[in-house]
Amino acid sequence: MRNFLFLSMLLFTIAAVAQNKKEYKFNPVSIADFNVQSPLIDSNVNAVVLADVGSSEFVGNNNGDFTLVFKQHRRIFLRNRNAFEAATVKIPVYLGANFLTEEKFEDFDAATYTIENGQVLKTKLDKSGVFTEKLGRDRVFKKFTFPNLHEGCIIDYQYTIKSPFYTRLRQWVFQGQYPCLWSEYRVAIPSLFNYFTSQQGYVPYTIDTVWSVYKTYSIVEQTGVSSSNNIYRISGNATMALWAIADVPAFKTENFTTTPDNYINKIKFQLGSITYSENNVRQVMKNWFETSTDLMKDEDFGLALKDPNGWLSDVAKPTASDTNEYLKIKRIYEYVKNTFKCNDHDALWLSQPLKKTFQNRSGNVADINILLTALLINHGYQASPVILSTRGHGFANESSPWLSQYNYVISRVTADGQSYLLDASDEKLGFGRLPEECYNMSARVVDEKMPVLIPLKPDDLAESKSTVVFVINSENEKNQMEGSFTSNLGYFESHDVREKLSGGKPEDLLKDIKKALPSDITIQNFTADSLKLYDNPVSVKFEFKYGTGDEDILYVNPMMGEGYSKNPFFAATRSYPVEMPYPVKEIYMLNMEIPKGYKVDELPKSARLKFNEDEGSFDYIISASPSGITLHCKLELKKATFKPADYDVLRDFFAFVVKKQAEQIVLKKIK
Amino acid sequence: MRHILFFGLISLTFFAGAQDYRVSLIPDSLKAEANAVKRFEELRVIIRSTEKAVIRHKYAITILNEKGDPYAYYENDYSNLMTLGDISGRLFDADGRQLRSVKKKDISDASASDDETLLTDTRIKRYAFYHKNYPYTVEFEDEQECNGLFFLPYWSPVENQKFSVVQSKLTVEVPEGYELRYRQFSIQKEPAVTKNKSVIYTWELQNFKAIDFEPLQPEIREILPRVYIAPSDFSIAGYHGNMRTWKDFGLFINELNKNRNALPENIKADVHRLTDKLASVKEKAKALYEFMQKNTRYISIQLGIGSWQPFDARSVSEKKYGDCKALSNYMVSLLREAGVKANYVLVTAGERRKGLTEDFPSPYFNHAICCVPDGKDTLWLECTNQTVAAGFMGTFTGDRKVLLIDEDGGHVVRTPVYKAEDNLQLRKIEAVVDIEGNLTADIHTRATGNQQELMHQLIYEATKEQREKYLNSVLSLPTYSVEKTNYTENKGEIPVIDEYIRIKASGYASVSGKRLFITPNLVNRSGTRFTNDSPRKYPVEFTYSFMDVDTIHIQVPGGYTTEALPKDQHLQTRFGNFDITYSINGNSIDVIRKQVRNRMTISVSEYPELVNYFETIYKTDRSRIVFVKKEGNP
Repeated sequence: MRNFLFLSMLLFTIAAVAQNKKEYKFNPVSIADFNVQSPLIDSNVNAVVLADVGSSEFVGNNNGDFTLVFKQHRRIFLRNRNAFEAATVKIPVYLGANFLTEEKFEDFDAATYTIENGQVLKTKLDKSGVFTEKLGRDRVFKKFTFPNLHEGCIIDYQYTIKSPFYTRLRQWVFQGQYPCLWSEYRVAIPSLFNYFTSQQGYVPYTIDTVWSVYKTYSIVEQTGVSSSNNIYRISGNATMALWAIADVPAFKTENFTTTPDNYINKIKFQLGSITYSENNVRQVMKNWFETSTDLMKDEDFGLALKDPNGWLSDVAKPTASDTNEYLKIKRIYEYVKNTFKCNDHDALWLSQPLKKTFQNRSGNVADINILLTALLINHGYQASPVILSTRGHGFANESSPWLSQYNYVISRVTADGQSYLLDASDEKLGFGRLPEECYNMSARVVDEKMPVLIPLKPDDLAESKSTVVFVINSENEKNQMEGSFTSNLGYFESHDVREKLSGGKPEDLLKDIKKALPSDITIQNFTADSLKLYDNPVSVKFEFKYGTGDEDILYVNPMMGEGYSKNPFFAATRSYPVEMPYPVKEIYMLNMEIPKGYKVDELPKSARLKFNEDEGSFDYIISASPSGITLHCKLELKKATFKPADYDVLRDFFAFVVKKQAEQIVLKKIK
Repeated sequence: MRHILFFGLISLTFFAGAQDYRVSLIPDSLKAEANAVKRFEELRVIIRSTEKAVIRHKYAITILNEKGDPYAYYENDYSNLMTLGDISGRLFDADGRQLRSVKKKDISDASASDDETLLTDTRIKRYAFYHKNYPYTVEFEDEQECNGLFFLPYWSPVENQKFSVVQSKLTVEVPEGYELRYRQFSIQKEPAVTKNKSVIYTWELQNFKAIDFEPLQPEIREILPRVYIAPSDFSIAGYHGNMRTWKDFGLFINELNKNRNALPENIKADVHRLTDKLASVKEKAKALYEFMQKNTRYISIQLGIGSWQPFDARSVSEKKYGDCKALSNYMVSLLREAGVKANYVLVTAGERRKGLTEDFPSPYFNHAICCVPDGKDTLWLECTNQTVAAGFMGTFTGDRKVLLIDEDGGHVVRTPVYKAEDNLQLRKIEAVVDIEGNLTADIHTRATGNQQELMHQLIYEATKEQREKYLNSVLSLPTYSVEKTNYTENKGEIPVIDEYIRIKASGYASVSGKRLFITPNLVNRSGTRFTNDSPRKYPVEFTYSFMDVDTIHIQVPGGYTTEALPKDQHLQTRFGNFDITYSINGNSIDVIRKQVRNRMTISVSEYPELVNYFETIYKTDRSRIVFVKKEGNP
């Protein structure tokens, strides 16, 4: 089990032990290839990737520069028609501003192989069958689909992409929807480029080797006069690397996972530096101090924060009622939050100048929270942008300033010795609150002097819900019970309710509550407090009435519909960690009069269950006296993330909760 | 003359002058219950000739709250058959002051292709005003030019529920002597017609108050005002036709499909090898249908007139893929080669759709199938599904009027309607509950017709693992696992699937001290509830009949006697019957539940009865049996 072997400098991890460096060789498709034998294949497998081999290599070009040549060759056995979707392929290709900066899609070759009359039949996919679909301004898809598909056929394709964007060494994903017998990636990098690599995944590598060879690259610079082109020869040790995994199982998604991207086997690259000569080294990847400095100088990020931004001086000015710094900051936050609409919650860079965001009243999350930061600074506060990666975007490696890992910007402000993290991109958030998606382990303050790491662990969140129910005998009517229901929701649940209700009326909430109740319960005086007071959690209250009938025996579930009716962990097994958004704390209290004319015949037994010693507990304490019944039910899980090994315990724990909460009180008529 | 020219220049600003978008001008009655209000709309269709038309659209919508935001987003498409240009838009605050306008460079442009599309020339332009100070108003305007007349836009002034309209107008301008065809839905007033050099038809809607949709309501056009327009004579991509009658419409489709039936020699040989020895039309059709299913797959390619014209049978033979048109045309070609008469059929597909409008020939189709007409033995073939049985038309294409294309033109016919006995779900449960309340159940289910559609997907589109994952998430049991599954299918014109699953549900029966509580209806609990909160406005439509019979036998531990048993129910109504009986024999529970639902429309006056009927079923399906330990037992 190897996971998160983060960041190694290619150059320095040259294997001491000689390993297999032999490239995979594709043999012509033969009858034997249709009879694939592998322990990975069972009745659940629709397709098997027989081999997926890629390479990235630098070559000198005629424009005085390097070209990055990426090749892929893939061969897939389609066992049944549910895998036919794998026969329609989309390959993204980047286009730049002109032909010099355009990626070239070349050397396309593809065919379907079937068995006809005991012979392998090859049906070629003609080049004219490759279509180009425009995708935004600078990207196209090359799209094609294979002819003559049959259950049990093999498809095979290869292509080359020649790219001028040599800082973007393509990543390699070893694991996918189908099992793969052999996945291999090799790179060859001239010594002047130093790349960092990041490997992740649970499946061990079969080959993981780096070595160096002496190589000469020729670069031609055209001077315009054909006879006098300049030719440069760059020689030295080139870094070679080969990674391969045999028998990669298919990746299967599970519930309660931040993103599958955190767990699939893949390898990524980031250019660290370029060594033009011994004395001329361009650092591309730097430390957090340098990166923060660069970000604050970048016009697409923090440059505008250096300006006095005088145009902001009259905005959100404190009023007489803002008697302290907290209230003044809050006014600024509320102003930004309520004025600007976020049109993209996945952005690290500004989409437009701050002034434009101010005029348009809308922008992406970076636009809005950097504007907030600018406003705070303009009003004399110490504020900085903070960057993070949201849960859906995957974990960021904390130590490396690898900016493509980040996709979200918030703001930190300090006043009166107190720091607040603010996100003004969501008007339904309270002051100092962040959305669930931000709790993805940590965030980084972009500050040249102190680029500190801020922990944002879901395990540290406190989410707590409490519900109190009172039930008494109706004074006016026989066989009638009345009561009140009050539930103070947890903060994140409140946020969900507010989102769901947005633009609607509180009564819409009542409709949902009614749906879950039997039709013979009457509800009145429904209120939902704090729906618009975003600093506070929502509290729901209503009164209810129901008839008990005149039966000899009454059965009452004391949870009144508030319990878990279904185990949230329904899958029988688990391979990856369980990542819930926050820990759980739910308290339920019932105080109920015994219906007139009845006595308790049987009560559920009180129970107490611990989860992994001190990581959680479930208390169900019930007691009856002649006047009434009280129940105190508390469910608590002190953390949000659990190892796969804890899964069975977690599932059993909730199974117990579900079972206990379903139990009934039995009341008998006094005769 | 100069004078007139000057006048002409002014009128180049095509639509009426600047509008007043103050929100205070909207009557309160239109704001109530609405998320957005259409302030103004003019949809103008100018038919210049049988092959040219221009569509100018301008509208303004006031967004009252967050739920109305989607109406602030502009979207329209274009293709080889239709251009899109002159897009402009403006944003106004509540006082009607202009805040922003659309910048050309901010309009996004994307392909309309989806996961199943290999290729399409349809692209979509989009723009969004993001604004959060409610209420606000957006105004958009664009122009489209049709290269060829075939599909004309329809007017649907009320775009959704919780949407009101101050004023909206459709004008259609046609050259003098050109016959415009139209069909009104949920709108009584005939259009105003003015004649000058051209003839102008005008429909208008004013002060429409927002409505709420209701579950199982009729099709939208039966609720909200809509006008369809269609050409009489038309030309498109070099083809000419008219659609005054369905017959004529069919003749045009014949033009498009002409010379697209030729098969290569090897496929012809296959056809004869497979069918020459078979006697009946049905046998031949079934053999060729299976051949088609085995040798093709669905891939969507829509280019220009290609969105109406199939790829020819030869290319399907070679590439072994095609879309609904190409595969249906290929199927027709195979059948003809075998000497079997077969027709290409156009369909309005989708659940709860009623099919074509018989009195208004128009191109509102989204699918094609194949028909082998043979009187009572007529066979319907869905060619984009490679696993379904020959002849079955489920909820996607069944029970609706479709257009069958024959040599003499189009004919309106109906696809099969299934009776309750055709759409069965017969279930037998044998279950045992142990002293801890754990339940083990063997569940045998036979499903037929429309009721087997989901199981069919589980068989063919899911792996065993995906199937079990799905089954492990859908049942309404608290904690359970599916231990075994098995499916057998009996393909027929009414397909039959037998499902067997074994489940273990820990703590299913709640055991407390001396009692045991059990809900005997394990898996077939009706979730349908109709609310009585507000009076029903529209009829309720049940689109197909079905019958469920559940026979449940549960063995409980010894030593208990029954304390509470739910009452038997026998409900007989016009729209359905529900019967359930409970009996206890020693240590076992026997429950028989039978529900029949009829395909029908239930009027508003019958609604209260419907509410009670479903509420009783809802409650009954969740009722418990209570056992108590016999006295004297420990």
